[in-house]
Amino acid sequence: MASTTETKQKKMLILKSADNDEFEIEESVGVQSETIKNLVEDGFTFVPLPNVYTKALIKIIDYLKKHANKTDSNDEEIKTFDKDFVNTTFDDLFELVSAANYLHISCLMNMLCQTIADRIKDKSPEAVRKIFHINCDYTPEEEAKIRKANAQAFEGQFDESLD
Amino acid sequence: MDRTSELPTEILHQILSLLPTKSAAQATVLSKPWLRAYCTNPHLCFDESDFCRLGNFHGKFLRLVDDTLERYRRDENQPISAFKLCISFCDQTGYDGLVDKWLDIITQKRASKVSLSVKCTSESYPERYSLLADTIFAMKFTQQLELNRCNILLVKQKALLYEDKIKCGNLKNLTLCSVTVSQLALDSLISCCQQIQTVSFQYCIGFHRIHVLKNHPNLLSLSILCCPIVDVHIVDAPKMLSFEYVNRGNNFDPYSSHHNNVGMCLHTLKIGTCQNLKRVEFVKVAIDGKVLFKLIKKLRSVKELILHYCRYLRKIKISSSTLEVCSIVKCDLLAQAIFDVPKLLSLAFSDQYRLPCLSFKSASSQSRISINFEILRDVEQLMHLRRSLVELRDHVVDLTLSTISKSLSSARGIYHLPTLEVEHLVLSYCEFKSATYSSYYDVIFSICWPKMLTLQCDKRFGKFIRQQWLKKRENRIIKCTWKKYLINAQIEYKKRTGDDWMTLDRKMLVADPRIIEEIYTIRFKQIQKREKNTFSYISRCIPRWIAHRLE
Repeated sequence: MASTTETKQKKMLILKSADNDEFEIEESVGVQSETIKNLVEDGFTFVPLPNVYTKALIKIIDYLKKHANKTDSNDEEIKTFDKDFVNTTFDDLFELVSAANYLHISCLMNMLCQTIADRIKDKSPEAVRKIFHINCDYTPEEEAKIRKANAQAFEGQFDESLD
Repeated sequence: MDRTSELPTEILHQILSLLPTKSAAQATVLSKPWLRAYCTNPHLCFDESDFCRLGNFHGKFLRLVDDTLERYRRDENQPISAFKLCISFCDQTGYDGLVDKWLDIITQKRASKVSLSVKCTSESYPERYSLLADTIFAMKFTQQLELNRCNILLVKQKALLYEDKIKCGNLKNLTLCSVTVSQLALDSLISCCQQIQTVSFQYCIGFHRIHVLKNHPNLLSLSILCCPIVDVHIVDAPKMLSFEYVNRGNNFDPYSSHHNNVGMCLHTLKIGTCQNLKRVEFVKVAIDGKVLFKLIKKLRSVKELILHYCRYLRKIKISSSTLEVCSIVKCDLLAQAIFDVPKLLSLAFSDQYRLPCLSFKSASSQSRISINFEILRDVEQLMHLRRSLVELRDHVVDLTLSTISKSLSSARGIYHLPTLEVEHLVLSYCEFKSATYSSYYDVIFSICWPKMLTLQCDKRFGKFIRQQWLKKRENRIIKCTWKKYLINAQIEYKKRTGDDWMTLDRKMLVADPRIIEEIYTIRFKQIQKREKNTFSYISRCIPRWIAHRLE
């Protein structure tokens, strides 16, 4: 395997999204993703990502670039960036979470799941269903049974808002 | 379109584990994929505080945890990899070994991460939840163990050191927080955990020494926070990188003879072979200069040394060929410091009433010295500081000042001193409601002449600098040195902490006088002909608590 320090020129990778858009990034940025890292270790420089759409990929590349330059001094900056990054719609969050899962970027996964969890934690099941467009596949009898089985969890006040 | 049904179950698992216990249980009614995910989640997390708003929440919470764990126990193919429990109790009898039973299930399920936090509702100190030491010793597959507010109970008082019964040999990370544990139980635990990597004790009682007598090939860090440990002995930890000892130690008099009141403080530290120890931190430790000197000689690869509130230190002599960062905070008796540290990059003093007399036998040309004062109280302190700056005139010095006392702003006679150059002066919080700018900056500039000055820009200062700057052309003769300094300097600003520095010049200000109101931090660079390459220092070498002030 060629060492990266051998030449001064940075090694580049090409990522191809599901919409056939191509993005060139530095290898050091890309390898934060376990999926890309494995491919790079196998000698690939062209990485097709059939499960990741352009919109999500652009955001994820932004994220990787920011986090690749992490030092002690720009801690605050990265925090602000992360905060802005997750300040988006639920649809976008799900798009990102699937992409991050496919790419195996664990720190991004944690952050996104935490954001989703934080946003739905006080909501009623009905509100959560609407937010996620969940098709309830229970019969009313089944649902009543589930509610009864976990009765202690369904007491108290809920937040019915959808944002 | 249902997005969640497309997601892999692992993601649902992850989201469920991050939800509060109650919300996670509610998620079961969303749809069948969610129910499946809830029932198969290998990361279990239960927090009683989520239930607090309900009547009889305690019983309901216990039933929920017990039902869930029983269900996992019945299904043999259902693994548990992580278990986290936060629970409150007021009376041990109410549990009847329930937590021990749960932990047994977890152990059977080969969970690798276990975290237990018990809050006592009665607030009385000795009433901690008693956990059997045997339960912990049985955790064969646990790699991460975190215990909070428990009392580890050793049933057999006989020595069980090295006994086969202790199976928790896979433990890698051990954190005990507010835990009562006997010396014997602790010794047994530590000596059996050959794989251990990080150990952290916080506010623990019941033991007073840590003897790591066997070889621990993977031990990376040992951190002790506010535990009454007087004796630490590490025989062989070849990979150890960091040792930290932080104590409150407020309840003894630092000025009397230290033979009588070392009760709470570390006084013996034996470190055998730790060739890789890079970072050593002592906060409120009763070591004196001699012990420290002996210790430093042994630490062949130490790079970072932190001494905070070490009140017995009067004289230190540090000679190390590897030390790069040294930070000394509030070691009030320290009067003399000798450094024979050729690789030193950063030396920081903070909150010392007076700086010790410093001498450098050998110092790197890159070394940078930061001095940080929370408050400059009186003229005496100011003169001490000036004296130290004179001693340090061959070094690059950064100075940070938070406030100066009111009495200083009216002091006479300090304005006629020769100026001392420092590299960078930071005025981190300049509150001087009663003083005028003139008297404030007179004092500041009587201390030193900064090549670069950084300060927080509030509205008043913004207005002031704008006035001064805009009238520059009409009023060419500026008598006051610091006004001249401020106006002739190259000015850069930041609107927010995270931003990059932007240049501000007179044209911009004339075009948009309001720009100054949005400025958060402003810095002035003295433009000099003989610009030395002084900005090459490495920012990571400045300890974090200073770095954020430099921002």
